[in-house]
This record gives sequence, C-alpha cells and structure tokens, in this order.
Amino acid sequence: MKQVIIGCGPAGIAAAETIRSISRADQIAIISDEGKPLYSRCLIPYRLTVSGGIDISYREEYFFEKLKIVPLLGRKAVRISSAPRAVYLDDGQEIGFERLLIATGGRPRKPDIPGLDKDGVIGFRTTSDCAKICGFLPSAKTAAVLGGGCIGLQVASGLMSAGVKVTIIIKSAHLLSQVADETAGGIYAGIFSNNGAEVVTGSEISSIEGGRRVERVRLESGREIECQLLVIAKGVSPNIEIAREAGIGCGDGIMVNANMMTDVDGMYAAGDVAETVDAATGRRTVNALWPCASEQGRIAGSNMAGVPKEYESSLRMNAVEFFGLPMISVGSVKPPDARHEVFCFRDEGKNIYRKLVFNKDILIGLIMIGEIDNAGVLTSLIRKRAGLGRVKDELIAGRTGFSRVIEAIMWNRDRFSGESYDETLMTLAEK
Amino acid sequence: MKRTVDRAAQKVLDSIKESAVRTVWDRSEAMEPRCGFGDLGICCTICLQGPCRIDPFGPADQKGCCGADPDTIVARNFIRAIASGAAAHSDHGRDIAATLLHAAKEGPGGFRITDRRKLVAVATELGIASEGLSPQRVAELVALACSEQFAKAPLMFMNRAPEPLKKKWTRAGLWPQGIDREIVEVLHRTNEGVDADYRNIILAGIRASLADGWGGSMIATELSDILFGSPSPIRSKANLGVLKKEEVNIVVHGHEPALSDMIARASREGELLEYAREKGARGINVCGLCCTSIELLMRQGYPVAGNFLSQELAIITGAVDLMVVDVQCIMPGLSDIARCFHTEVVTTSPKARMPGVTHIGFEAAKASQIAHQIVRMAVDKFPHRRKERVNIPDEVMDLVAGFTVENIFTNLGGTFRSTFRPLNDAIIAGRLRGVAAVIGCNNARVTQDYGHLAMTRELIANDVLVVQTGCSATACAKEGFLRPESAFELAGKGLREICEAVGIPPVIHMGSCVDNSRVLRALCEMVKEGGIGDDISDLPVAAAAPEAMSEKAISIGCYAAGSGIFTVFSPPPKIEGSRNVFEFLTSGLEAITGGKFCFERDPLKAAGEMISHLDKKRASLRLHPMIYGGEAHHEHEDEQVLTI
Amino acid sequence: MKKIYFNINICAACRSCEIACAVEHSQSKLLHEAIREKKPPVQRVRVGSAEGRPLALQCRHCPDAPCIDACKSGAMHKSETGATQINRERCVGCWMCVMVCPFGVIAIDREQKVALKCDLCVDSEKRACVDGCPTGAIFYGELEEFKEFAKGKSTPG
Repeated sequence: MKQVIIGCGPAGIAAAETIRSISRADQIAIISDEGKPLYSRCLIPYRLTVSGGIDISYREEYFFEKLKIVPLLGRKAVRISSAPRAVYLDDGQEIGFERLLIATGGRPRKPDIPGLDKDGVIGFRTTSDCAKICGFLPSAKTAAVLGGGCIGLQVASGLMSAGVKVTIIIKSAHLLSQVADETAGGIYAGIFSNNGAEVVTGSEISSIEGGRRVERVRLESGREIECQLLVIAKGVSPNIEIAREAGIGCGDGIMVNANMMTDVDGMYAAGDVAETVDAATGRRTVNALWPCASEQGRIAGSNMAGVPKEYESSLRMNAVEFFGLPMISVGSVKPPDARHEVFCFRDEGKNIYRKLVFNKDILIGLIMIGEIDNAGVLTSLIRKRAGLGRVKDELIAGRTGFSRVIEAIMWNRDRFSGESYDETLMTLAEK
Repeated sequence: MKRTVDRAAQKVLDSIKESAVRTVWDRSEAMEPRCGFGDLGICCTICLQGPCRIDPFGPADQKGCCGADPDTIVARNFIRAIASGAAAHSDHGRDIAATLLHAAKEGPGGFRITDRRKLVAVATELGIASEGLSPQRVAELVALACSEQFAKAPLMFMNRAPEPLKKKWTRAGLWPQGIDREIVEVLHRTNEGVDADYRNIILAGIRASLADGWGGSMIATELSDILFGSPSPIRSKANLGVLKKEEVNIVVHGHEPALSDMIARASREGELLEYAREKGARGINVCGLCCTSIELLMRQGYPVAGNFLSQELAIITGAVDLMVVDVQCIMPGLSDIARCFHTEVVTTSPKARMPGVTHIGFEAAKASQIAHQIVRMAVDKFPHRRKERVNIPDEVMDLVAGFTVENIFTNLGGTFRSTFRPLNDAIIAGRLRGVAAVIGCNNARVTQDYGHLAMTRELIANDVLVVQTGCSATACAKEGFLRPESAFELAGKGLREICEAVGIPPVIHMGSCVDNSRVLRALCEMVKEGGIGDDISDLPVAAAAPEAMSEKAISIGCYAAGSGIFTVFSPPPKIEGSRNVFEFLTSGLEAITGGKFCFERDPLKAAGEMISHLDKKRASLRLHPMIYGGEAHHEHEDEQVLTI
Repeated sequence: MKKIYFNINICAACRSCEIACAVEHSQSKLLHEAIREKKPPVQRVRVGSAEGRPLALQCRHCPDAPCIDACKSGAMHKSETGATQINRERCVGCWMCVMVCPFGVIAIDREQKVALKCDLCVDSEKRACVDGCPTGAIFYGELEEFKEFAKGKSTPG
C-alpha cells in the first residue's frame, strides 16, 4: 500500500508510526513544507522562557530512516488529484498514493491591519517565527502582544522574562476568553499585571505605525502604545485550501467521519486541519489541540493501514501555566444558559479556582487553577458524557480521585471500555 | 453517606459549600480510607521495638515483636482507651470536689453551696454526721471524703449497688482500690512486658471503668448538684436557632459546670447588660455545646445550640461573638474556623490550650471576676459581627430536661418523696417493656444524630422508656423527642399511658455524660423498689451508645457492662482484630458481671437486639406479657444514612 | 506485560505502599532521611476510597496511552517492555498528561516542573509497593499470574 501523508506535525507523525507498527510492507512518504519538521511546535515558547535553550525535538533525526519513511521535506504540496490519485509538489514532483492523509495543520490568522508588513511584526507558529523574535529582542524595550489566548500569553510571559515591558491587547473582555471564564481570566490578568505587564481589554488595533520597523500601535480608541515588537497571536486557521480545491468536503475544517476519512474514499484528514465532533458541545468544530492531533493521527493511520478504528470525538482542552500558576480547562466552561448548573470554588489565599459545569447529570466543562490533580479523571467523564448520579456531589465537594468516580464508571460501563478499565475494575468486582 | 440528619446543620454546611472553609466532615472524608490496622486495634505502638502490626489476612499465629499476640495487642489498646476516658471523667470529679472545698471555705470567686438537702443526703451516705455542723463544715468533710477516694478504697458510692452485683465484683476482684490508682495500674499493666493475658487485661480495664462510673463521674454528679443545685424538670430549647440575631451570643463549650455557671451568672449582671445595650445589642444570650451546656440546661434551663459535631457550625453561622471552652470534646479545628469569622475563642483550662486562640486561666478564687471579663469581651465583639455573613438557621425545638433519680417520679410518688414504684409496676404489668439508656457522642464517620434518633424512635415505639444523657440527648432534643407531646406522636401505647399518668416525656433527659452515673443510681433504685429482679443484670434494661466517638464513651460502656447492663456500642472500639477479645466482651463477660457488649452497627438492628434482651429478661422474671402486644418495626428511610 | 495489580480483598488501607514508593523515589532511600529531604519525594501510588473500600492505584500502562498522545515534548513514551515511561529530561511540565490521564495517576511536581508517575521501579530489582505491602495485596507480574495469585494460590511477584 502506498501511504502518503501531507504534514509532519503530531498528526502526521502519529499516523506514520501507527501505519508502520501495523504494516512493515506499506510504503510511507511524508511531505512537509518545513526543512526540519521533527520538532514540537508547542515547545517553541519555551525557547523564550528557558534560559540555556531547550531541546524542542519531538523525534530523533533518524526517525524517517528507522521507520523506513520517505521524507519529502522543504516542499509544499500544491494540488491533490483523485484521478490519478496523486499529490503535486511545488517543485513539480508527482507523488502517487493509494491512501492519503491530509495533516496540513493551520497557519496563524493575520488580521487585516495597515502596517502589518513592518519589521518586528511577527506571528508565532514556526521555529523561524521564534528565531525572528529572538532577533528583535535585544533592541526591543517594549512589546505588544495581540491576542490573549494560550499562545499570546505564553509569548507575553516569555518576553517579560527577557526583560521586555509588555502590553497585551485583546478584543474580548477578559484573557483566555476562548478557553476559560471571566474569573480565570481575571486571575491571570492580575498575575500578569503584578509581573509588570499591562492588559488592555476590549480593544482592536486600528493601525501599526512607525518607519520600516514597528514603533507603536494605535488602538481603535485612539490610544497609542509604544512597541518595538508586535506579536500577532490571534489563533490559527486550518489549511484547508488544498482539500477544498480538490473537491473534498470542508466546513471550518476538512470534514471527516468517525474513521477520520473525508468524503473521498481513501483520503483522510487529521489534526489542526480536521473538523470533528466535540464531546462537550456535541457540535462539529476544529479543535486545534496537540492531544487531539496525536490521537486523530493515530486513528487515521490505523484505518489507513487496514485496521479499522473509530475516533469518538475531540474535546476542547488546554493545559497552561503562567508565572507558576497552572490551569487546566476542558469542555464547555461558559454555559450559554441557565439550564446548565455551575459550581465554583475559590480560595483566594491559595490561588485556587475550580469550576464545574453540568448539564443535568453530566459534566460538560471544568476549569481548575492552582490544584490540577485528577483533572484527567474529570476529562474522561466529560469525554464519555457519563451520567454521574451521586458522583456529582463528590466532584462538587472536590473529591475528584478515580476511586471517587468509580460508581459513575460502573453505571456507564459500556462507555468506559478497554484493557486498563477492565483490569482496574476487575479487582473491585471480586468481593 | 449523608453527613447529618439535623436540618440546621445541613443548612450551615450548604452555606459554605463553595467556600474554602473546612469542617470536621471534610477532614474525615479526606482521611478515607481509614487504616485497617488501626481500626481493628491490631497496631501496637507501645514500645520502641515496634510499631508492630498483625496482618488480619495472614496466618493465625502472628505475634508482635515481643511475642504479644493479637488478643494481647487489642486488649492492651482497649484498656488504655478506658484509662484515658476514665481519667477525663475522674479529673472532672476531682475538680468539682476541689471547687466544693473552695465553696465550703467560702473562698472568693463566688462559688457557694446551693443544695443543702442534697449535701446532707450525700454526707449521710458517706458516713459523715451532719447534726450540729454548719453546712460549710459538712461540705468541707464531704469534699475531703470524695477527694480521698481518688487515692484509695473504698469507693463509697459503690455501696449503692445491689448485693448480688457486689458479690460478683468481689468474686471477680473488680472493686477499685482508688480512682487514680486504677488508672495508673492500667497504664502499668499495658506497659511493654507486663500483662499479656487478655482476660486479665480487660478485667483491669473494667475495674478502672467502675472507678469512673461509681467514682469519678458519680462524685462529679453528686457534688455538682450540691454546688449548683439539683436539677428539676425544666423547659428549654435546642438547636442553632437559639442563637439570637439581636443579642450578644456567648457559647459555652466543654464539660465542667463551674465555668459555665459563672458565665451564665455574669451574663445576667445589670452592668454588663447595660454595656451590651451601649454596643447595640438587645441583651446577652448564653447557650452552649456538649456537656457544659447540658449542665446549664439541667439546672438553669439555658438552651443548647448543638452537640459535638455542631461546634464548628455554630461559629459558621457568623452569629457567635465568643466561644468559651474548658476541657474535652473541643476540636482544635475551632481556631481555624474562628479565624474566618469575627468569633473569639477563649480557652480557660491550663489542661486544654489551643494555638492561635486567647487563653484566660480560670481559677475558682477569681471565678466571677474572670467570668465578668469574658462576658465583657463577648460584648466587645458584638459590633464586629459582619451582618451579611450572619446566617442563623431557624431550627429550634422545645424540650424538657432536668430529670434526676430524685425527681423523676415525684409527681406520682407523693409530694415529698419520689418513688420508682410506678415505674416498676408498669414494667411488671406489661405496660412498659423496660428502660433503655441511649447515650453518647456524635461521630463524623456516621451520619450525625441518625443512630440516636433511629434507635430511640424504635425503642419508644416498642414501649421502652428511654433515658438519655450527653450529645445523644441533644440529638433527640433537636428532633423534638424530649417534648411531652412526642409520647402521643411516637410512643407505643403502653409507654404513652405512663407518660400521661406521670407527666413525663417518653425520652427522659438526665444530664451530661458524668450524669450517666444517675442512670446507675436509677437502676439501683429499680432493684431496691423490687419486683423486677434482685440485681441490675436481672432488670429488663439496656444501654446504647450508637455514635460513640470518645474514649470516655468506652469507659462508660465498660462500667455499664461491668455493672450488669446489656450495652450496645457502635462503632466497635477497635477490638475486632481479636476474635477472643470480641467474644469475651460480647459473651464471656456476662458470666462475670452479668453484663456484656453488643457491637451492632445498624441502629435499628441494635434496637432490635436491645428489645430482644428486654424480652428475655421479662421472660426470666415471669413478668406479664406486654399489654399492647405486637411490635413496631421501622425501616431505614434513606440508605445514605448508613454507616461504616 | 508485567504490571502492578491490586487485590482489594486483602488490603488494609494502611498506605504503606505510598510510603514505600516515596522512599524508593527519594535521594537517600531511607524513610527517616527521606522525610527531611529538600525536595521531598513524591509517591506515585495513591490509596483512594471507592465507596469506603480502599483502592491502591498507579499508572496502568495503557496500550493506547492518552498521555503519550497528549505529551507535547515526546517525554512520555513506551519503553521496549511496553511500559509507559517519562523521559525526565524532555518533560517541560506542561501538564497535558495530567489533563488526559483517565486514572489521575500522574503526580505534579510544581517546583521541579515535571510530571511523575509509576515507573515500575525500573531502576531497581524489586517493586517498592509490592515489597512494602504488609498483607501482600499488591502484585507484580502478568495478568494471568495475578488472577492465580488472587485466588490464593501463589506468592506475590
């Protein structure tokens, strides 16, 4: 079987590894527009914060050799054709396939602002983006970060640790508006402020000004903010163009079924480019998150190699830490209406915040700041949409350990399947 | 598991659900699962060759390092608990005797002899001739005679016991040789390398417990009656609703009546009431927790805010301006809770201090002055109350308390003398099945109050008169069982008739935990009155502590069983690790003292055991069959109230 | 694959396994010193309460381990034996694994900023928790061996 994978991020890598673990004979080729793609994109921000550098490699250099994968690096895939089944690269090569995985990821959103092309205005997705920022650092006394999401805040804290005075400009009313609630946003806004940053909410940049290089930004309100460096962190758009042009069905992302296959037979999609059902909301969405990408890649790879596997659902989930305060946020944390029950616990002295959102008997969202133990136990309850019964009270009381939720797992036993559950619960069955 | 069936308690707990305030229940739940070695009593930490433990699932011949087998390990741990419990009660008795001496000498501070009639009665019993002597002199002699009993035999009040019981004690070597001495001997015997025979060990423990029940506790009860007045039936109220929004709230907590009596007196002083009004309060409201509250209730009708598990909750209502404590059952966690509110916690005993909390040493000679100072502090705190945080649950229940051996049947026995005749006749005739004492603590490992309520309800529905003390009585008070009306609502027909005739509720509050000695006395009177047996162990009676927590409860359980009473005790006091000890306590002991333990955890099943026991005794005595035959049976309404 | 299994019927909930695990992962490997170490060791097994019954739980070394999917740095991986292990040097303490572990068995070392979990005492000859259990309720071996053991027919691994 000729297996071709476009994209060498976590989805592509997971798919390749899975195919190889199932089939020694299949030919696997990976196409990546980056010359040295075997790194973890998520680790790039650590290059700003960790002094002495950090190894961001995600797989060894001999990865391709070891798994007998043909690497086509530094080449961009420009067209997919279904008859003949082939991918066309920007250097003219035609790569035939029997099965294809489109794992092209996303690109940073670039807002339409005059002056965007000035020097010192950088997105934050690739190692070269990071290298550019590092290049501008010595001459940047002040910087602005546009976007208050996980990436934006990671960059902001990285810049702050390098001694730069940072202003964080966000459109929403509070930080982390896509992944957390007002209280959580407020907690982190306080921490960033205490560490010297300024957080400007409800604002958009109307123009980026200066000479060849950015010197300041002007907000819609008219206020000017001085900065010699501007990082744009307004999220990511899925790179679906290549699929759409090939006639593959797309929504916000490439639409896939439970086997990660698109509406064209033998063509799969996974990762930041794919649109899947979110367990907490029940709606189709692109959850551009590392764990989702890996899992989707694994499952796509399995199906491509002839071992059918189903992907239950993706789930919006984020784990971050800023200035020593960790937060885990999963699922639906801003309930749209009063039908959802919300329980909050706050210990200001210890900087602990816990929020649980229920839809009747089912947990659909959580935020844990400060104390993040057992988050994964709750994530699995959200993912499996388990009816909780008495366990709901345990969670509200903060008793979130696995043993405390076993009752709910037993009631929904068919959803919690697999060797690990079987082994662990077997011991309890023997009385 | 439900934390409590007390609706007021639940309201307070609900109010802090989303806050960082932690209570005994949170800590108890976090402590799960409890260590099985500890729970079963098979962990020995007595010497430094240990700690040793016996694997409960392992081979039968396991021994600790020194060669102690599980029976020895369990028995030693058990009697150490008895010693600790007996020590608490006995030290309390010692302090009361010292206070009586002080009052006899009319020392400063304000303590005086209140009940002279009782003084004379007790003096007579102790062989002290009182004609021609001033009450002060008699009191002095009584105090000294009681004090002596701490060091040496005989324990005078043990003479009250029926002859057959005394013979049993003689045969078994159970006469204490001095209250303190027995406790010292327990510690000696359980020291590494001393007593290793579990029966011998346990009997020494029983002897120490008898020195508590017939010694330390009984001295405390009798001398408290002399000092503060013998109780008489009195109305009052119970539960958190007794806290007042418009008044300064002072909560007395702990055990010894000396302090609470003085606080109550001070709170009535015109000068302090005026001061309170200046600070914006309508008055000064004294209420309490645990036994010290019950002492105030029994003698002066002051209301009871709650029992053991309610102590933190009282503060959390935001309405307690000052909580003054002495000894026993005072959770160290109170200081954390008080920090979250405006409440001042004040310790008063050198034996019971708490970090982070104000201490004002209470001495008899300066008693009324110190009490005045403390009440003043409370008034000073009143303006600091944060009105938005005051959340007093409105649960409050009427009750009747104040029953003693002397007054319980005064109504029927004639104006001047109370007699147990009506009680015995009712039992003989089959109107009453018998009497049960339901007593004891709260325990966060079981649903608060449920054991007491379920058991009491079952007993009275089956024509068993229930007498109560301590936190158990408070539990039933909160639920309304101590109202005379509950005879109509809950009691079986026979019991109801007696209650109507005598004018008593079906559940009789006899006082604080040292007042369990009143129960012993009542049983002696029942035997003396005649017709229902010659010994306590013949009587159709039983005792129960369904939510036991404290080592004091273990001591009480032992002196009950050691005096011939069928005693239900739950949770089991860390003895299940030894089959032999378990058997001895639940069966073997009966041949020695006539009494034994029953460790049934389910309060309804336990009530059933007690009822069966009463029926068995009735049959042996060939009493009339129960007039209103049939048996009432309740079910647990809610599986979440069940227990460990 | 050899794993750690737990027999609830003979667990006395003493938590000696937790202590043994912590001591094994300390610098000194001695209890009385371990409790005073500047970086106190973290136990990777926890005895929880499942409706009042004890449950000693540690990493299940799941075949399709969600933590490996979630790990941003490639620190979480399968060893040759199939055990899930953390490459401490690679771990950046991002807590993604904590976010997805369905058993909640990943411990958080906030100071060192690394994730910790049961490593099957890979550097030692014996499993600390198995040795430390006074009733023999913890077993190390294959699943089938454990089933035999639980029936009382053999000694713990």
